[in-house]
Amino acid sequence: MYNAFINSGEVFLNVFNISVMASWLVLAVVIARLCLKKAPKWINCVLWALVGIRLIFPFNFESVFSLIPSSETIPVSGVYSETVGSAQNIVPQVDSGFYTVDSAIEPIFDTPMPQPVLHNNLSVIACIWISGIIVMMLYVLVSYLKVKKSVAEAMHTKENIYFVDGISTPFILGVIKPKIYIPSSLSEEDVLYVIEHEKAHLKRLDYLWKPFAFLLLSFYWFNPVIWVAYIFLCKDIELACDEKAIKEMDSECRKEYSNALINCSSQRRLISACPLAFGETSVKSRIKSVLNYKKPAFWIIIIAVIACVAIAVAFLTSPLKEKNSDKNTPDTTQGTKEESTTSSTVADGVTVPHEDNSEELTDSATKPVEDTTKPQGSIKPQGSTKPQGTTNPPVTTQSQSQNSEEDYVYDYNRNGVIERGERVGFQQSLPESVLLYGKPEYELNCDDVVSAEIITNYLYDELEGIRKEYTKTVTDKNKIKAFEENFNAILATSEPDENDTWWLGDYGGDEYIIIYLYKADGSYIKVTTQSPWRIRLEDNDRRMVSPYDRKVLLDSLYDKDEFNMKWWSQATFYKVDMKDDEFIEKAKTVTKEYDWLEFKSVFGKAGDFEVDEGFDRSIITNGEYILIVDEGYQAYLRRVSDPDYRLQID
Amino acid sequence: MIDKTLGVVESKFADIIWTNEPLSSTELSKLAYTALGWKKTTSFTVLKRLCDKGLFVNEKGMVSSLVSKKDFYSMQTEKFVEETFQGSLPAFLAAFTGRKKLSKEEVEELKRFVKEYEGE
Repeated sequence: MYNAFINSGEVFLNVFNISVMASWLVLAVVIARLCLKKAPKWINCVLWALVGIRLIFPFNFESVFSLIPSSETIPVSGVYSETVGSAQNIVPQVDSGFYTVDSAIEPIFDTPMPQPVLHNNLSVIACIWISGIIVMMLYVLVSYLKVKKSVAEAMHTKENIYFVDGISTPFILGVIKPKIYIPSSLSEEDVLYVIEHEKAHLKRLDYLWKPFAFLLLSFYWFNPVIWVAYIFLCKDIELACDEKAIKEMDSECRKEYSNALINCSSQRRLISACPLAFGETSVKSRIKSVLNYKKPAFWIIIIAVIACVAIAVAFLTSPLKEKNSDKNTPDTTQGTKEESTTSSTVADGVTVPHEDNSEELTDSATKPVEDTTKPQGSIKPQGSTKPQGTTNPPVTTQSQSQNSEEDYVYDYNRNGVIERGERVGFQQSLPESVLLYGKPEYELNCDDVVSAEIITNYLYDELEGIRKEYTKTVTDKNKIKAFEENFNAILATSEPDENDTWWLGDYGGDEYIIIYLYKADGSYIKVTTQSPWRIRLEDNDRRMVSPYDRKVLLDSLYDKDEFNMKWWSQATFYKVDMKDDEFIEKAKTVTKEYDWLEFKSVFGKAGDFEVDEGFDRSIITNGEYILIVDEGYQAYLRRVSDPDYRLQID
Repeated sequence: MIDKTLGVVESKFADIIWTNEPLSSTELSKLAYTALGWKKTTSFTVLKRLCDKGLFVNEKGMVSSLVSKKDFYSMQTEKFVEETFQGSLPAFLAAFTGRKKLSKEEVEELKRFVKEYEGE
């Protein structure tokens, strides 16, 4: 029972969205009606039938021709998504297809509320909706009974025609065996025409369409546009019926038909569900149409039919979903994602040429974002992960660091804003190498830097539940290089050695890097940055390539003609423990179409390889032989000790 | 004053009584069924109403009239002239003839009528 209660909210949301879509169609039909005045009135009824179709069927046909702004004004998945935890607060999104409308309405839903509360509220609204339906149904029932009573003493004449005292206007009652009731006070002449009109109604099955339309209206009672549609529909039914009745009449008869209309015109009742009253709709306009009726030309009918089809395609279909899907994705990524994007956008367009091969600078990670799609899981640093260098910065600088800190602190903090409001670009090439660049005003002159300290700082290691820190100090001035002069860049780097290890970390997670660039006078520039750093841990399960290995590999592989470093920087390096012949044998079975699952099965037991989205280049090595798979392009073997060795596999 | 107007359908029913009176209510309902398609209950409902209006009476299942048809319609006409023409017969006639000319026969009949009336 409770489930039904909760689900009703979802049902109502869908109904609401359908009614909005239908409203656009109604608008189109109203405009079409104005344009198609010369067309026969049954065309109008067809147009309203389209609206009916839209209201009945809860599924959407997507098409490029759709002119509907949005198929889900309040995306249901945003509210009823199962992936969202119940503790999480949701702000229902609005996607009406119009930015101004969305931004106007969304503040109303500004306060996020937990999902269960939101669901509850919607279910309450749904109950109100259902109550409205019940009220409408009761109205129909009551009206029907009243009318039934009024014709209790009807006099049967012929066929299904009855005369009744006490009714003011002729009508049809009944859905299964409809009967025509005519006021007994009508003159004989009028009666004839009335009968023609009501018979036309019967032929057109209006006594079925109108109650059905009202039934639909009952479900969409909350939408005033649907009421407008219903009123227009009733009008058009009467007009179409008139046209059908007078089709075969000459002008003399038509005049008398109009007379009958006048005689029968009762007080206007806008809304009625059951009876098809003769004098119900605006008599004046009907008389006008009757007297001015001309058989419509064939081509007008053709145009009208084409218009109907066009409207059906444009407004019964819904827009293609991809336009909406981006908007619908709830923003669950952390704010840090933006940071690494912004850091990289600054990096974009900066080419980093390097003459010096030994530095192995790769234009790496211009898109650190792509690596954030699957956070790597956390880390198990081994014992061998002892920090390499000393943790103490040179003493001389330490003491003096205090007074110069204000002048030289450039803090690229979590929000991507430097304390002084400047932005420092940060690009990470090899681990423990950082390229800092920015505007010339930063006075980052590498000549001044005597040493650099790079601290990779985890705030929290999920696996072990502790805070970790790793510091590397570079004191060899040779390793601190200027990079792009006009960027006043400083490269603080170090040659990786055999014992270097990698840490795995989340991209844009809690880790960050602090870099101290010490000048001779003791001042330093401190750069704190969100790390697009990618460090890997070498542990039993993850036998990734160490920085050292990577460098060795890159040394052996780097071939100006064949690759560019950017490619390599985006490749994923893996090391396996395998003898050479076994490695070569297995390598030969690989094709350029391989993905990580296949590598797993060929080269290692499960867990050795990690499925790496965004990396479609793979480099697997056993230390001596290197298998390179460039997805879709080639797969081949290289060798560390022999740069000329190359064996094409696929 | 009891409302003595009859609807078209009602008057048809009344006609059945006037034409066939006195008759049993059962017979009446049968005739009503034939002529009008009414159920028994409907006949009885209408009959009761007409009895309340003072036109008919249903004594132990036998239906008869209290007011003759002629009298009834005379009263109707009187009432009509009263309400519409403030009781003025000339006004009524003027209205009547205003729409269409009286035929020769009608004029003769009127003349005779007036003479008769004058006489009383």
